Amino acid sequence: MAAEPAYTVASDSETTGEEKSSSPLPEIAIGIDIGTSQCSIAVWNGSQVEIMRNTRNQKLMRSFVTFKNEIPTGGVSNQLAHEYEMLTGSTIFNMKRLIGRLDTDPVVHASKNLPFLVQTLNIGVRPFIAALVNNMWRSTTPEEVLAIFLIELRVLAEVHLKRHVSNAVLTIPVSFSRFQLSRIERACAMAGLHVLRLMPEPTAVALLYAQQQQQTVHENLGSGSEKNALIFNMGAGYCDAALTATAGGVSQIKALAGMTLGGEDMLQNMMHYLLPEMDNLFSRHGIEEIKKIGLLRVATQDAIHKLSFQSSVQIDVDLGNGTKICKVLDREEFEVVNQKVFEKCEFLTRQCLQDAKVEIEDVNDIILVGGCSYIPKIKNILMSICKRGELYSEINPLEAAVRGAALEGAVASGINDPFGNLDLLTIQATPLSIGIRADGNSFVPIVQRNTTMPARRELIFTTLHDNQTEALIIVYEGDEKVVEKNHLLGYFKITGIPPAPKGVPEINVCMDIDASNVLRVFAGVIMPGTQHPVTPFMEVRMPTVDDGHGWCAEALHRTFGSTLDLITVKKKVQ
Amino acid sequence: MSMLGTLTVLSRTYVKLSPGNFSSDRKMSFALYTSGRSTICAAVADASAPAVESRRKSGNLYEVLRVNRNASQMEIKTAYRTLAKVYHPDVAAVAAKHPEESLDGRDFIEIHKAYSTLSDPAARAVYDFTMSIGSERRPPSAKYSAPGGFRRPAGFYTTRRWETDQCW
Repeated sequence: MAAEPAYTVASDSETTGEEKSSSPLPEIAIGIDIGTSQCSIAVWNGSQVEIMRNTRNQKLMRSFVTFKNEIPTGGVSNQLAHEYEMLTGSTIFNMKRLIGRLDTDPVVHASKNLPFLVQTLNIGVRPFIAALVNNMWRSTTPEEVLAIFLIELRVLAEVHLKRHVSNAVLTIPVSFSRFQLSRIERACAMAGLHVLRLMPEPTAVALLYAQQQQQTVHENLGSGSEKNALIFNMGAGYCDAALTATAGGVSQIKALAGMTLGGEDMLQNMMHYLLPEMDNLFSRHGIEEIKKIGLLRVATQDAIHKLSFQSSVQIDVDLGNGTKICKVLDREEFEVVNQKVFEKCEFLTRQCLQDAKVEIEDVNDIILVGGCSYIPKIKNILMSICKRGELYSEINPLEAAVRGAALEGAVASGINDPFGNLDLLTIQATPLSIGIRADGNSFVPIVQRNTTMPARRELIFTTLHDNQTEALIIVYEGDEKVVEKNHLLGYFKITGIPPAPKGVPEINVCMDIDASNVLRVFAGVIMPGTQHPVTPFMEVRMPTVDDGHGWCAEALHRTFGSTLDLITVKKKVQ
Repeated sequence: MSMLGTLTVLSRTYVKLSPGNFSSDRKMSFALYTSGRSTICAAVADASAPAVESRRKSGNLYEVLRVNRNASQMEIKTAYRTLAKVYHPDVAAVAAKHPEESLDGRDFIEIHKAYSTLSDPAARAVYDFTMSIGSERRPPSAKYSAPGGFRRPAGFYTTRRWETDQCW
């Protein structure tokens, strides 16, 4: 049942003290920000964070992989002659929106009008993703595409640093499930990278902010004063919010909130707005249609970018066969078409503030980062929620996450800085609740979301039936009441429950998350009046599910019904 | 400091009791693996031992944070951050002076529990009140229950069960 033990490779930084002293310098882990649309890579160079540039002197590299010939090439090394080259069917992008998702996922369905093949059969397996190579569909997976890209990044870093690179800290969206994280880890393993940490993007920004604050405090000789910062990050694929309380280089994450929402959604909305019959026109998804989607996509994207800096823009695009779009688009139209997106942004921010239990007046700084941070409406939303006239300006919105990741890479590698610039610590929180299925079809959280990590929580359950000798522990992650709406992480069976009336055996389920975000689930049976567990506690590292697990829960239910079910033990009233 | 000693003893004892195959696992995982075992064993051991014993040793939240009873919010926050910089597993793993003690994050979990009670004025007031009553065995709210967590109540339902589904 263990998903992929082969990928947890021992790292240099985690060796024992003796071994460490024998090696002269620990390897400094690099920081990687894989964005839906752009990637960057940075490292602590001994005195500060340095963003590495590729051979074309770019700090930000487009995230795509082209399958033209036998050897695929990614956006690190490959130079696109023109944006349109990305739209010939042979280039896969937006892999971060697709990774770890099933063909029943609405996000995958929305990806069907990307200029490559995304086919869904709605059966709960991975979608069929393929690139057009010599008029043939060459199937691939988001993990493979990401791995090809990561190899290029690793080579770039190795050339730059003139050493072998094996450890990395990557940033990830807050809303990623642990299953999606395991896919990222797999892609890294395929690329020969050991993941030291997967850091939610806003927490990487929080670490950078903590460092900046510490430097300011050093100058002002102040100490101990705590500063609250609201961080809002929106890129092409995902949107996250975090509230961090910072003092003395320690960043305590008080709350995290995230959803799959970004520039891609606005782009899709605008494309549908400009060409309402788009889905019908392109449904055949042949080479001609792909080209047309590509033309529309590039024109729309360009217009959206311009609308961040000017109030209106002229769109002229000829899709052939008499389909022409000639239109002046203004910023108000853009804001109306994407009203729902902006409403969700507002909701997410408010939820984060509420979860953090921090009053708006107590927020010292508002940090807006990510590609969408240039959109005036997003700025206005944040400033109006926080009743503030300005945003924090000391952070480059496109470099913040990768810089934070590089800082964490240095800290986690055990690097010391004589000037105290690495005297930093992030105390992370769990972005999603983790629990099990019980009380019928309910999700019973054991670790609540926004619990400080490391964390250990337990809950006691009992049997549903008389003489029930087995129980199924089905672990989910999420915050929906109905289990199916959450992410399935895995399941295992407890056996050997002594025959007893229902409600008597105590099934103790404990969840343990360590500082590097590894989740372990323990479960065991204790009979009242005894002091020892009936059988040794079972310990399972999660997630255990693999690809194609979408139908697992359903199949379990069909096979076992409620025979192995558990219910929560009611709290005794004081 | 005495509580740390206690925990260490527990860990060490139960490492011996459960010789796992952690050689292939990462160092971090090793520590947690042991801690996981030890917690469960501790749960068992606890049921037979007087429950109050371990609680008294580690019980005082002010001692956990190493501050005075009348410490200000600022002092509590500063103490928490200072301790976090020593006992958080990220730091402790790197320092690796006492790997078997500090890697499992248990110390930090205790520190955070103490902090989350004492930094909340209302929870702190309740805690202070309970403390002033004196030899109360079981506090009315498990928010400031004995550190160490995951200790099973000894055969009967105690109020400690409470803490398990509380989010703070």
